[in-house]
Amino acid sequence: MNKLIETIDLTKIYGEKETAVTALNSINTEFNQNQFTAIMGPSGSGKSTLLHCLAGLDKASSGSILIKGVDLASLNDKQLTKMRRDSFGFIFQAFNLIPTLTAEENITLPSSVAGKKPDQSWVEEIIKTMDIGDRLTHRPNELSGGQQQRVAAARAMASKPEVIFADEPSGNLDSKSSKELLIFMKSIVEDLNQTIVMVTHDPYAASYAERVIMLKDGEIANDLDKPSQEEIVSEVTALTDI
Amino acid sequence: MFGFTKRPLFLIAWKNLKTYPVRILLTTSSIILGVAVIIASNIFSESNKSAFDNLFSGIYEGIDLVVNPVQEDFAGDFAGSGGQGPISFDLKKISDEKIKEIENLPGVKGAWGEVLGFAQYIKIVDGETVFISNGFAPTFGAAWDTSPYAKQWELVEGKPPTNNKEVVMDITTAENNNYTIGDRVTVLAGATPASFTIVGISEFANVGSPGGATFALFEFKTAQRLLDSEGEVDIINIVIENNADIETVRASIENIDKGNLEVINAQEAAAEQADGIKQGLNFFNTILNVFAGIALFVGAFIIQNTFRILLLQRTKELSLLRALGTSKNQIYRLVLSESIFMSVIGSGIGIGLGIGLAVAVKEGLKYFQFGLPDGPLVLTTEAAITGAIVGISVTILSSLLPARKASQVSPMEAIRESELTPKGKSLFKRLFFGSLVTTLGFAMLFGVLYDFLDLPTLSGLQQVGFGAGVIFVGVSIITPSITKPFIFLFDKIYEIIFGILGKLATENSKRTPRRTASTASALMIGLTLISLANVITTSFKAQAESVVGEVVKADYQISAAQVFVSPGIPTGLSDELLALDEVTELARTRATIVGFEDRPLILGGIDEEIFDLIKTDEVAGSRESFTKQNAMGVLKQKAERDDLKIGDEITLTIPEQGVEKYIISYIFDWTTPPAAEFFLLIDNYSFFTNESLDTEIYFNVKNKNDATQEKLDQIVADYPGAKLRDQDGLVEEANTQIQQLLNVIYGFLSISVFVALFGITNTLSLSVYERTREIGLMRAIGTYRKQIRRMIFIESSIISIFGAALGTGLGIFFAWSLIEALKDDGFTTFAISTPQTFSWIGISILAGVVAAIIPAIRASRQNILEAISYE
Repeated sequence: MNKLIETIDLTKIYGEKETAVTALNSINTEFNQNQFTAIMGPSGSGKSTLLHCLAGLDKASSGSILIKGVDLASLNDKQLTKMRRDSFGFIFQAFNLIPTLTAEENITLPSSVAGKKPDQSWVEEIIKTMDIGDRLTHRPNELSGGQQQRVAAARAMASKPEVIFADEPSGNLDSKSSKELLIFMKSIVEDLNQTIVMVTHDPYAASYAERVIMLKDGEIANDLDKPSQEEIVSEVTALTDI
Repeated sequence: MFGFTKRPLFLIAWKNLKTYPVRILLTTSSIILGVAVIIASNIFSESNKSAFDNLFSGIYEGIDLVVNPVQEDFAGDFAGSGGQGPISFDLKKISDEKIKEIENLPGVKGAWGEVLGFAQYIKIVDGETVFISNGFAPTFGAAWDTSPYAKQWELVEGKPPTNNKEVVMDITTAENNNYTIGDRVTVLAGATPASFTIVGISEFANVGSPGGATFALFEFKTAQRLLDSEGEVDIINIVIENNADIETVRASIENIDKGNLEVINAQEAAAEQADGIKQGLNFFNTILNVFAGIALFVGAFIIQNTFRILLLQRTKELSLLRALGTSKNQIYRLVLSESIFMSVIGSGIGIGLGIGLAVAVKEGLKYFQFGLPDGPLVLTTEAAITGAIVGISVTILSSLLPARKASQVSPMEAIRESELTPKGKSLFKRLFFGSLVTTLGFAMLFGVLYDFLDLPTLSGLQQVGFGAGVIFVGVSIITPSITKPFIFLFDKIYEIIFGILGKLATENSKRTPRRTASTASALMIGLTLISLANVITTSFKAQAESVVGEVVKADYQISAAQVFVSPGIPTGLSDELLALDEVTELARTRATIVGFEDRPLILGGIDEEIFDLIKTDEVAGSRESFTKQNAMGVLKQKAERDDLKIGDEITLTIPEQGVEKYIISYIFDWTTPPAAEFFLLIDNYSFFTNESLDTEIYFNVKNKNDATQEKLDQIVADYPGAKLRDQDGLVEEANTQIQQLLNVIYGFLSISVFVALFGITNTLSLSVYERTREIGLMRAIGTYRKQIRRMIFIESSIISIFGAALGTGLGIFFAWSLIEALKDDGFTTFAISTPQTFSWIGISILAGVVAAIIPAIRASRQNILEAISYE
């Protein structure tokens, strides 16, 4: 498997001196292509910070993040933006879509912003996979929560990114929609050869991933390969109890 | 110990303002400007008033009585005949022998005569004759007062003029034109210029020169000769003995020549004359206040908007207060007390800025040599109080509605994660009422134009104006409901030009149509007035053009360049022109004063060719019969007024010739007449052929080309008092004056556009704030900062185009209806200056972009993580 992202001594400290809080403490890990990874951990474990740093939304305090060998710290804002636009896809917990644009316009937004024509057949394939073909002309407020997240997932994939970052994508969904979304996400890794890094606190959601990284106090507490939901729950309980 | 405050909300309000000074500046920016204009205009006019007071007390300094000749009351007659042009008649003067007589009266300490007339300094620069003047101020010549009691002019350096080759120049003119003692200078007084040596530089009552006028001060006899006052003076100034009774002295002077002399108290005259000028300044002040009012009106729109914006941004804070148990009423009072603080601070800054503005305007006018008397700036208490009251009340009134709205905030807002963009209410009611009002306005306006509705108590023009006002209000009500359809026009175009950013920008403007509309309305007001002024003046210009073209048929016209200075053009010029081969046809006009029914009357002398060179409508009689001896031509209006017919006999008293009878043989009409109503043929009468001056000369040439022009210029150059103009020149002259006026109006109206800019800045800031998440999301998925900025700029251009288009449309329409209403008064031309119209729309769009700079930068620098975080 190809190494896509590599972190070396990745450290993130918020604040200064006495009020300094270490969110990430010397994280060394890597993420492979065509893999569905979940990052888990209790509140304040640094899981969101890790995702934000990996995605170039936040800057590391020390250490480095290499995306296909390129150090993110060496990029300026413009290059970072371009990287996010062309190489990354994003699914957030809520407010994923621009309310004034239709579902279709939202899906093609990254390529529109880049001034490129989206790959028509690819986009059609995603829309089919996400089962949102009949909602394309609707605006976000006319879509259900699950549909909105599926449109967001479609947008994340539309520009054929190297990796999709998902931040609690099913956090705001009921269990049925949540399950549907996760199935879709799993299928795009398996069928469409995408790579996903997902932050979640929900063991059920994490059970769809092939690999689960457990964070605690800014450090990797555990790295599980294809765990079952029960395994994850017991690990999480173990982490929270101590 | 915990602190305890009796008025916690007042404290919160104060703390809020202290914490966010930028807020105060944003909200009060428009109030500051409006108050500043009020204050500045008041200072400006008050200062000028006091300066004129000083000036007039300077003119009469040390003088107790002034002797004036009693003038016959025929001024009305001349005013009625209305024309420009040299009239070779004299106002009555006083014989200079009277000075001695008065000096010998008991109680009189000293007496001296003043000689004052028009004189013009001339310099030749690169072969061109340049008339020296300080802005619009007049150019005077006067006699140097030698009396030891005269305190008006004081020598700064040099000596007084002692012979007919010497002149003393006022210090303002000397400094502005770099003249020093010993320089030669040419002065035009009367028809022919003469050369003088500057022997002294002098200052008038410590103000340089009165009112910025240029002064040429001659030796007494020279002044009398040059200023057409041989053996005479215009007035006599008198200083009385300390123990003399002013009334007794006054009476004894009047008795010298009963009925012909009027003696006035100098100090009373000073006050009276200053009052006259002050009234003129009051009018100017009123105009300035109208412009300040417009700025404040626009300001009220913006304050209301800004308050809404700021309160919306603080929804959470306010709802937290509500959740903690603050009542609606208390929130209302909290917001109001904030607005009171702001209004006081804003008005204070406004007054300060107004003082600065007044200084700037004063220095600016000085720089352009506008010729207002110098003096300290005066800020009256009333002006300061008026400014403060207006500023404070406008601010508070504008904050009432937003405060009410803010007090309605639910305590739940603080806890709820809600969308920030306000929900739109139905705009149907607005559309309905707005249309109703607009229709009413149209009915009033078209009622006059198409004669179907005539409101009593209003004149036609007033009704049109009133209707226009009502339409304006109606349109302001409608705008929010037509925002969407209007922006719809942009949708496709903007999407094609700017891609997805254009689409996002148009969608955002549609999202809050009320806000977009009210922001645009602020701009609309300014643009309406600007395009109204533009179209009206352009139409005036076009009218002038067609009138000049129609009325003057001659290729060239020559007139006196400085009408006041020189009573006409020496006849040598018309003789030279007549001798030229190039000149095919030439007509002179002359004028003299004669007696008619015991009154002075201007009698015009003309050549027969004038009827070819000026558009003439024949009413009765014929041109041929006019050329006969003792035949007289009469202007149509005069004939109608006095019921004169062909064959009637007119008796005139001709100076040095006696009573003569003339027969009316030709009645005609022309629109640019020489200033007379009775005309005789020049060549038939020796008193006209012997005149040394022509009033005007009209002529045609064989070929109107560069060679001819050069030859004519050469000839006319020998007569510095004459001005040669072809038709284009005549039109241009009229147009330049109109354009200058328009530029002044533009200057004032641009203040309201400037105020509107703050509105755009505020609205966009709010829009950006509301879309924090959206913009963060866009940045997260790879939108460049540059692109975010561009999106905001596009959005701003939509607002400004909306406002500018509406305003320009309304302005043009209002101008059109005004011109239609003036049709019966001979106003027939409607013209739009396309370049100026588009320039102003361009300026508005550009201004909108400038206004968007701060919000755009703020949007592009938005922290992505903050925008997309939840915890």
